[in-house]
Amino acid sequence: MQYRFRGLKRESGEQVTGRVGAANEDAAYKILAKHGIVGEILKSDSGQQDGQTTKAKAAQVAQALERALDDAGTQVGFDKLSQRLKGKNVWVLDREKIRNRVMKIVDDAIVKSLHDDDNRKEARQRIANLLEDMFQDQQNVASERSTNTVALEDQVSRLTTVVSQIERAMTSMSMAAKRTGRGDRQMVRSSAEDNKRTEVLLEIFENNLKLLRDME
Amino acid sequence: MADSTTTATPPQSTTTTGPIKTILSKNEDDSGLVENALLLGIDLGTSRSSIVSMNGARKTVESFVGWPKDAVSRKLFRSDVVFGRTALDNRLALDLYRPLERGVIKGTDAGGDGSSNEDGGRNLEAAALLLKHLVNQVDPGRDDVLYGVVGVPAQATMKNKQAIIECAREMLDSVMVVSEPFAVAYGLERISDVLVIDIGAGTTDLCRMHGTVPADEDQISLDIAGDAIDRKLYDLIKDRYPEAQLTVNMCKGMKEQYGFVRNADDKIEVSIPVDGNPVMHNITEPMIQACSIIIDPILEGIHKLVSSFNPEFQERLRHNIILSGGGGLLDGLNVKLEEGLSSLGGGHVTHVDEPLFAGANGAIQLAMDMPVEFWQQLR
Repeated sequence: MQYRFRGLKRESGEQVTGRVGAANEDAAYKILAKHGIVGEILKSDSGQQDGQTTKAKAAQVAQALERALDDAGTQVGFDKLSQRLKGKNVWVLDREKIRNRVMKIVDDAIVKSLHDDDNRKEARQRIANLLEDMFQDQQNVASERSTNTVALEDQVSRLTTVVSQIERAMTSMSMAAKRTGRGDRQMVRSSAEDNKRTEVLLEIFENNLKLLRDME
Repeated sequence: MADSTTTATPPQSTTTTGPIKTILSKNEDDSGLVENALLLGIDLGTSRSSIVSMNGARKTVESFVGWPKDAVSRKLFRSDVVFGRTALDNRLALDLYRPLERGVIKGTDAGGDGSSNEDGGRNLEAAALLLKHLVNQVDPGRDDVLYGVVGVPAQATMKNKQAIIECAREMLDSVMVVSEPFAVAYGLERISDVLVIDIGAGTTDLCRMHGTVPADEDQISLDIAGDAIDRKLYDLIKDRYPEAQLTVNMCKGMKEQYGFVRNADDKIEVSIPVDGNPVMHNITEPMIQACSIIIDPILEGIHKLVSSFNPEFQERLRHNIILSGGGGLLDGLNVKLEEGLSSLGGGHVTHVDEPLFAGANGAIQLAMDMPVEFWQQLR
């Protein structure tokens, strides 16, 4: 049995913390005393170990879930299927949805179990119950799709790309226009103004050079 | 990549030979050293960070960085680190960091800001990752040399600036930092007789421009800004509706949607949960009161900067006040400031067209005007 302890060194009064392995609390206190430590607090470390084990298992669950979804998937001829289902609304198993929900359930259950100090059996039962509830409701594992929604998603995706491209083009054009405008103005600008701008840029450069040199 | 061994012209000689050649010049004198350089303007903000690239791409990201707490959440996000709104929305599953405070990276002040060394290191790491994420958002080419100008608060210390440079150099080949309000003014091509007020989340920076890089006495940084408004709004709503289940983050969202300081007939009603049930609450009065807390400090700052300016140009300065930053979007703020200025001799306050991008726009403009030799020397 592992125990976490906090205590004081008998000789120096210095505070120490650590772990001690013993059959029970009394034995742990005896071991500490043998090492010149007066134990203040002694706590079983099994809870934390259980927590870590549970979390590691949750990660394994996630991997197992991925594998199960891969194994359970069957390739079908999409063209034939879409012809057969044309115009109909269908529910499609949504891997992303399943993955997210299962992960959330496992994570929440682990946190809750750690908080409530559940033992392993109770934690497993809690997760099993939640998963069962989840898979009982079709809406938790599938998403409704129709040819319309698929087409709409495609259109929205294309529009997003187009808007992004237009935005870039507009910015480039406005920058180019600004530069051109400034170029024209530069022709009528006094050299004093040019020098002023040059001085500003030089000062910024020098300040940054100083910063960089100080860093080195 | 550019050849770093090529000798660059000393910058001093450039100043004596008339107008300087900018990095994008394509005349016969251009050595072509940086033909693949992608110039970037970056506004690394406490609440939001924006980037504008020479290739036209512009992005803004909320300044949050989150690391998944465990293997399960890492699997959920399919990433070792999450940014922006996604990080904020999933903060329960993440170790969430907001690496900037008052416009600078947390823990980089000489005196410290209360952050532990470990936290300071984590904030530095978060800021570097945020910067990397921002740069990746504008799709730089694989062979591009990256040169960037980063805006920093008006009164950032040398340590603050160096911390930002250090982070940026992990991603950029050459970096310059520049005062944020100065960048705004430069982007608007108004670097003379203008007073810029940049209202961010952490600080409100006031900066008077007179054709040179502003000195310390030309700038004032106030701690009262967007975050202070959010906290005030939270307190006021909680006072009025103690049963409302509210967070400061919810208040931030309300401010960004409805924030105003004018006297309005409209009323603002928002849904806030009470015992888990959504209930409509009238928050008109708390909103006006909270948003108005920045008016007096700003007026005081304007008065200080104007009254200590050359008397011949004071009136011109009062009539050229520009609002920028997210706080510049508060409805009616310019009118309220003009009303306040009437007792000081009057003034005219406008706001920039794109408050969220004004800093980054100015930074990219500076980056483009900066002579190639300067960039080379800072590599």
